[in-house]
Amino acid sequence: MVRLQVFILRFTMKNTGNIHITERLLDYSPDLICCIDRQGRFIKVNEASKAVLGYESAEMEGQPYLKFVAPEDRESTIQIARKIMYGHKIQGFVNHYVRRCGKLSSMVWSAAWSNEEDMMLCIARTNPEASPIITTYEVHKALAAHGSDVVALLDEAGNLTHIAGSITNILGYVPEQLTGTNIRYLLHSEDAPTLSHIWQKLSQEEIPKPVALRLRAVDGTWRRLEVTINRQVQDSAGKGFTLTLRHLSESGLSHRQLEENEQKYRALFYNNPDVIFFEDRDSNITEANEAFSKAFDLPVSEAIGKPAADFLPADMAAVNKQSFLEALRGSTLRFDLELRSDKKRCVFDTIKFPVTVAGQVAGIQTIAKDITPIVRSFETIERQAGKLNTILNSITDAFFALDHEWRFTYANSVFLQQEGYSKSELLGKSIWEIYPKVKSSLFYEKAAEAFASGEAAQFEESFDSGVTYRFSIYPSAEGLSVYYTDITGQMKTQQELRKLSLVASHTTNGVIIADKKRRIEWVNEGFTRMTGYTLAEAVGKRRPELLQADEAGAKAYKEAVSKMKYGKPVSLELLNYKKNGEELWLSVQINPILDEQGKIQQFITIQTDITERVKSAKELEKLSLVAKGIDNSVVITDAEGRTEWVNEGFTRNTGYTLAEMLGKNPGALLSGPDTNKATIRKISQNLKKGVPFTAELLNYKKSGEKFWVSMDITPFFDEQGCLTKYISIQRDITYRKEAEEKQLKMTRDLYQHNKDLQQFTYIVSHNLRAPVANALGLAHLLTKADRTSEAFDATLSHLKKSVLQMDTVLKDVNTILSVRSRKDVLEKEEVKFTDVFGQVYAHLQEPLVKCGGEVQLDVDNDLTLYTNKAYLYSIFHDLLSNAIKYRSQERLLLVKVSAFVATGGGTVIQFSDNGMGFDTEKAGDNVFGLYKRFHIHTKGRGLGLFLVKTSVEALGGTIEVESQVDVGTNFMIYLP
Amino acid sequence: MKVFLIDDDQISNFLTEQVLAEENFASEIHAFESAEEALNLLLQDVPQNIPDIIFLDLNMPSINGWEFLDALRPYSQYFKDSCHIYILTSSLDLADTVRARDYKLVTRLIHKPFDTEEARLILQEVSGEPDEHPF
Repeated sequence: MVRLQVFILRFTMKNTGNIHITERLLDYSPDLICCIDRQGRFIKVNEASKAVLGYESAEMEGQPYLKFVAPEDRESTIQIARKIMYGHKIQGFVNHYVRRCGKLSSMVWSAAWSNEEDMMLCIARTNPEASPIITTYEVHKALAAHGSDVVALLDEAGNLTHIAGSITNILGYVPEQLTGTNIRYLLHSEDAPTLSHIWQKLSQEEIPKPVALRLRAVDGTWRRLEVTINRQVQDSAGKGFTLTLRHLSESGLSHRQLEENEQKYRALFYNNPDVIFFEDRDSNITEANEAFSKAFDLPVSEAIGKPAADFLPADMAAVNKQSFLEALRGSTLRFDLELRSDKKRCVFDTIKFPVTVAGQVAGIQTIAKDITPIVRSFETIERQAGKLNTILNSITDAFFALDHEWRFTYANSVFLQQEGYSKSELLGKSIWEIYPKVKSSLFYEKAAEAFASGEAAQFEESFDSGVTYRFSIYPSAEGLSVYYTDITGQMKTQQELRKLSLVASHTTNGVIIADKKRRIEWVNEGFTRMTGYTLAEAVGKRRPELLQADEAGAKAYKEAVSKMKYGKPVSLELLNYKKNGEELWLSVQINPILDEQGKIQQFITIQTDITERVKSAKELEKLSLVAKGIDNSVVITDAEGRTEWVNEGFTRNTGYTLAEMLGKNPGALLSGPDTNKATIRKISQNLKKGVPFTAELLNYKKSGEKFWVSMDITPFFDEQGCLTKYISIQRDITYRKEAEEKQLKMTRDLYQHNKDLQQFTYIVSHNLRAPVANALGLAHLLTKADRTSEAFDATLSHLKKSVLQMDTVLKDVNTILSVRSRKDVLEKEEVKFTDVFGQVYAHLQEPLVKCGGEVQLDVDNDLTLYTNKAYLYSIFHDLLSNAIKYRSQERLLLVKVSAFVATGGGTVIQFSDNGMGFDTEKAGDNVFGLYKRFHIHTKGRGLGLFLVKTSVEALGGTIEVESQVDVGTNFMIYLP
Repeated sequence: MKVFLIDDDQISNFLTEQVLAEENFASEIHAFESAEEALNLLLQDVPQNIPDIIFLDLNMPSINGWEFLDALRPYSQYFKDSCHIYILTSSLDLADTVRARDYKLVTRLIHKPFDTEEARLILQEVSGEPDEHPF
């Protein structure tokens, strides 16, 4: 119990801190200071009571004050008390108080009524001038008269008025202690009827017999005494009684009564819940109760005759022995007895006291009360308090406590260390004494709020020094508990982290943060988008556990892990699979994060989806493999059309090597003068459109040889849709083109033949049929006509003409057919232009001169043609004879002939006249048609121009004509 | 009976005249060696000079028979009832026969040589005698 008190004291001091000065003042005052309530009880008495009256203040508190006032002064004291209650302030009132020792003490009082407290406040001190009022002479006389047995005088109420010193032997009190005490106060309540009976007898003037009563001794035990009360004969007033007390053993109480007491005692002994045992002088147990048996777990019979040390642990046995010896010397001992077994631990509040029989200590009785639960709870409290203290000191947060006056009542080591104060410097001082600026802080605002509201608060505050603290404040009845942490670094890290996580969560790349054992702690949204796995699914797993890989990928990652373990950054490309099983090519960079000691803390992995790139690279790889093997030319250019790659087929087909082509525009290198410009334009338009297309083009090899290609051009785009490449696959289609051309020529020939056939049909149906029909008709006429008639001669003449006409037509047909059929086997030679034209001129000179016509020749004398002379002759002949035939009647014929070598090779011949001309528009295609004539009155079969054209074409040339009626005709002939 | 012969072939014209004379076909026969000449006369005072019969050749220089017919088309109302136009051609080309049917003004196409039988048939047609329906 002592330990508990010490603890409570310590704890109170520590935690309250605020000392009630007034209370201290009260306690140290030499004057008696007290408060008395309306009922006349002491409510509070200061410690001076001990010095002034001999009572502990606790003995007085709660007791009626009148009890302590000498009977003689009670009346006057009550009077004064009434006055005080009515508001009078009293000073210097004197009365007598009964000291604990029984002596009277003269007191001088000052008192006043406090309405506030509803109490009387009094101060008193011992009256130095006072002298004892009542002499003790009479008392001594009375006591002496009743012999040594009379121990006290009683008044009518039963109060002890005068007490002899012999009472000390009987009850242990000093006489003064009991003066004024009523006899009933000392009496056991069970014995009260007995005393009332005696009092009744006394009032009836009878002399009562001695009775056995239990009175309380000074140590609180009950003493069974033989009590005799007699009327005080010598008393003048006759109102007093004498009290005689005698030990029962001496008085020879009846045996029955003893037995009865013995029974009571035994019941009390054996059934007592406390452990009780009795040791004789040799410290052997002579008696023990049920509780003892239970506590030591052995039958009482086994304990009897053995020393208590046999059942106690060694240390407790020693304590017991010591106490036993002390008790033998007459002391009552109190100690804690601790019993420990495997299962439990019990603590007993133990009292050992001597049992005295006939003035001799017969043995030692021990009463042990099981206070285990109390001890336990106390220990728990103590342990928790210890823990609390440890916690307060061990928490890394700074901690301090303030009372309601803002004074420091506690500060833990962190706070002291951080702020550079010692506990003694701080405790008891107000916060603004230490921190003058605190009133302008958020902390002060929040703390004041917390004081007012009683609610805890958490907040952060940055100070001018650049530090940021996070405060937690908890108000309580005692004041305010304050915790705070320096979060300056944390704030910075947090801000950086916030920025980082912003970047990480918004980047399209996948980001993984893994712990040092490579277990995933975090992935960003990009990762989820990329792989299909959410953060929740990823956390706690290692990357290969989450993302499946093919064999090569798994191997590559394993190798990477072995590097990672050494804290080296690793990058690799591998194939993983998404959650949905799709292929996912990734470029993975793994960066280990090291601490200051170089130990791996975390891994940050950044992965980029390169599926498209890998696929296109693979495609390209495949493509180039294919391209390498095929005969077709393959050209890959960049977006600007510069060659990046050509295959071997290209080199074979064009003669240009990859090295020669690199960086060059293939079109610029391969095209030539005969390359169709329109096709080039079309290609360039399609390239710009970015659509796949096909084109056919005539290109030139490195050797200058022409060749036809068919190109399939495909544009390629990256993920962003930007054009990156063109791939052109080219086939040499020269053979096909040639075949096409041959076919075209054949078609043209066929068409020509067809046309010729039509011409012949026409010739047969008109030009040949006409004379035949005429001949038929004429022949018929001749059969009927008179041979001598004029008509007969005419008819015959017409018949002759018709037959001749038939002959001419047949000849013409022959000519035409021969010109046509021979054109592929024409013999060509160097022919001088003027020679041939001269021959024609000579042949036609006669009709020309006849009509007065003239020929102007503007031709270089040396001009020669590589051609067929006969054909050239017939061309000139037909043209010149036509000119003469269709000359104008209004003017003399003028024929102009010129010829020159064309820039692209070959000869251009111009042949013009000033003849009748014809309507070119009207003539249309028929100008050069067979048997087409444009003039009515001139003789002509319509064969000339047809033959001219056929001849020119047979020589590989072309002829064009322009004509205007009555102006003239102009022929342009081109010969190779 | 007034008859126009349009043919650049003089022999053909001679032959036709002889046959018509033999059959006492016409009181008045005009031969034109070009379609232009005939056209000029015909369109001079329409419908003054329209003959009862025109024998038209197809194959002629400058304006051929088809072109001649095309030139008459605007005046077909004057020719429709009063003038019978016969194409007289040496052509045996079926295409010409087919084409002739498209011209309303053309009564029929006759293949040369023109003979008396043909002349008599024409005379029947022109005199308005009803056709002897063969069925």
